[in-house]
Amino acid sequence: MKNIFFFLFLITVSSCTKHYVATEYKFKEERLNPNLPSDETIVKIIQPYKDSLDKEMNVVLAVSDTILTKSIPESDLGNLMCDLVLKKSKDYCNCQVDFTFLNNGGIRLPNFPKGNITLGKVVELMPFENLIDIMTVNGKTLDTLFNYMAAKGGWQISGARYKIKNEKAFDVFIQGQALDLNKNYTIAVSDYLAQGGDNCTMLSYLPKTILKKSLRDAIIDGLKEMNAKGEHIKSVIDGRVQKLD
Amino acid sequence: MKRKTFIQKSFTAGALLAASSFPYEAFAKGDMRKITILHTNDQHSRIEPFPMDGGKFQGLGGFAQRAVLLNEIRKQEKNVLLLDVGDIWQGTPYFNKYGGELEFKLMSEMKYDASTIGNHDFDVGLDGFVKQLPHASFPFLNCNYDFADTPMEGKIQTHKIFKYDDIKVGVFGIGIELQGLVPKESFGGVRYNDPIANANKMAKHLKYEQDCDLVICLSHIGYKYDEKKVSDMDLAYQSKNIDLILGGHTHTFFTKPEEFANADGAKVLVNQVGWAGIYLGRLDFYFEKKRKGILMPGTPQLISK
Ligand SMILES: [Zn+2]
Repeated sequence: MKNIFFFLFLITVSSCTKHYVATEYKFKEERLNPNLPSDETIVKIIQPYKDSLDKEMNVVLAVSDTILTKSIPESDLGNLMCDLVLKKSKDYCNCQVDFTFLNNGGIRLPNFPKGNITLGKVVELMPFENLIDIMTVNGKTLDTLFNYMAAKGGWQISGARYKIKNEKAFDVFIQGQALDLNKNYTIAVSDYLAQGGDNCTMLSYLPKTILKKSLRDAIIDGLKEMNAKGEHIKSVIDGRVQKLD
Repeated sequence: MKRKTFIQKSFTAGALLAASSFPYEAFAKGDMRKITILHTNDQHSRIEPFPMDGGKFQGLGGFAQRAVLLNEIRKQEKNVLLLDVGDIWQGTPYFNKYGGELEFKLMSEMKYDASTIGNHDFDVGLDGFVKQLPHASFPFLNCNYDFADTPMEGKIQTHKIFKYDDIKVGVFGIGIELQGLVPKESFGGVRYNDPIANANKMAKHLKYEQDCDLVICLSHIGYKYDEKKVSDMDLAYQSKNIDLILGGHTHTFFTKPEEFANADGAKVLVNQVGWAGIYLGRLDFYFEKKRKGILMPGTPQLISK
C-alpha cells in the first residue's frame, strides 16, 4: 500500500481570551569557575560539617605515580579497582576467586589524582556501601555475562580478559584459560550487580555468599597494604578488554 | 568587583538564539514578561568545588560559588525560578557521613523553588529520605511514582504552580524506572508508572485546567540511550503541552538547549547541565500577550495514511 504524506500548516484558534505566549528565549550556562568568590552564608553552614569530615577523610592511604582515568572498554582506574577487589576478596573469603568485574556506573570519579590518595578520595571513587558477594557460576551463565558486558561497551575486569565485536564478547579467557561452558567458576561481585543492578539479571537468582566487606573496604585495605610495603599505585591498560569495532 | 565582571563576561559569551527577531519594542512598552529559569541536575553531593588535583573538573562547581551567582542574578532579575532535577545525593563523603542533611540545608538557603527525585536520592532508603525532608524548604515533585503505603506517601507533590504577576508557570517531575537500577530494599514499595503518559496527563492539566503560560517538566529519566529505554528524547517527541524539559541522570553536558517538535508539532526544549554543579543552566523566557494561536503559525506536521 502506498503512503501518502501531507504537510499541513496548522493554525489553532483555541480561545478568544488573551494569553501570554512564550515567544522568545535566551540561553546561557554559568560555568562555576575556580575564580568565583564564595558566599559567606553558605561557607558558614558548611564549615562545621567540613571540619569534622576533613579530620576523618584527609588520612593518606597511598601514593599514586600517575593520574588515573576512567574510560571504556578498559581503563587504568578500573583495572586498579578490580585488581584490588580481586586480591582482597581472596583474602577475605580465604578461597580461590577466578575473577571480578565492575560496571562503569560503579566508578564515580572521572580521575584518580597523582600524589597522595586520601580516604575521602576513595569514598568519592566508590561511595556506595555495596558488599562483596562470592558466587559459583557456570560457564554458560558467564557467557551471558560477558556478552552483557560487551553490549554495555565493556565493563572493567580483573582475572579475566575478553574482546568485543558487534556488541558480543569473544576470546574470553579466565585465569588464562578459555571460558569452558561446562565448568563452574568462582567470582567476586558487588551485591548491587549480583542482585540484578544495572540490569545485570543473569546472576540474580543464583546462590551467593555475602562477605561482610564492601568493595570500598577492599580498595582501602588494598591501598593500605601497598603503602605499608612502600609500593606506589601503578596501574596500566594492559589489553584485558579490547573493542575491535 | 570581581563578581560583576564575571557576570558580564559570561553574558556575552552565552548563546543568544534568534536574537534578530527579539521584540525589544514590546518589551519596553511593558507588554512583555520575562521569567528566568535557573537549573541544576545530578549535583551528587558536590558541596565544594572539585579539588585542584589535576582532575578533569578541577576547581569547578561548589555550592558557595553557585550561591554568589544566584545572588547576582536575583539582583538583576525580578522573576527567578530555581529548579533541580534530582540525584542531589551520593558522590562525596558529605553524603556518606551526614545522609544528605547538608545538601538539603544548602539548597534551602539558596532558595531552590522545587526539585524532582533521582534514583540516587533513594540511596538511604525511603525512611532516610523522609528523615532529611525537614531540612528542605522546597517541594519534591514527581507524578509517575506511586508512593501509596510507603513512608513517602503524602510527602511528594505531583506539581507546583508558580505565579509571577500575571504569568503562571507549572512545574512537575518524572522519575526513572527503579527496578534494576536501585536496590529493591532502598525503594521499597514505590511503584513506577509510565513517565510519558503521566507527563502528558500532567502537562494537559497544567496548560488547560490551570491555565499555565509555561509548563516545565523536571525529568530524571535521562537524555538518550543506545539501548531501548525511555528517554527525554522520546518524551520530547511524544509530548504535548510541555514547553521545557529539564533533564538529568545521563550527566549530559548540553552546549545549548535542543529543540524538538512534539506530538502536536509545537516546539519543546530540552536542556541538561552535566553534573556536580559544574554549570548553572539559565533560560530566560520572554512572553508576549496575544490571542493564543492566532499569530502563531503551526509547525509542519507529517500526516501519513
Ligand atoms: Zn540518576
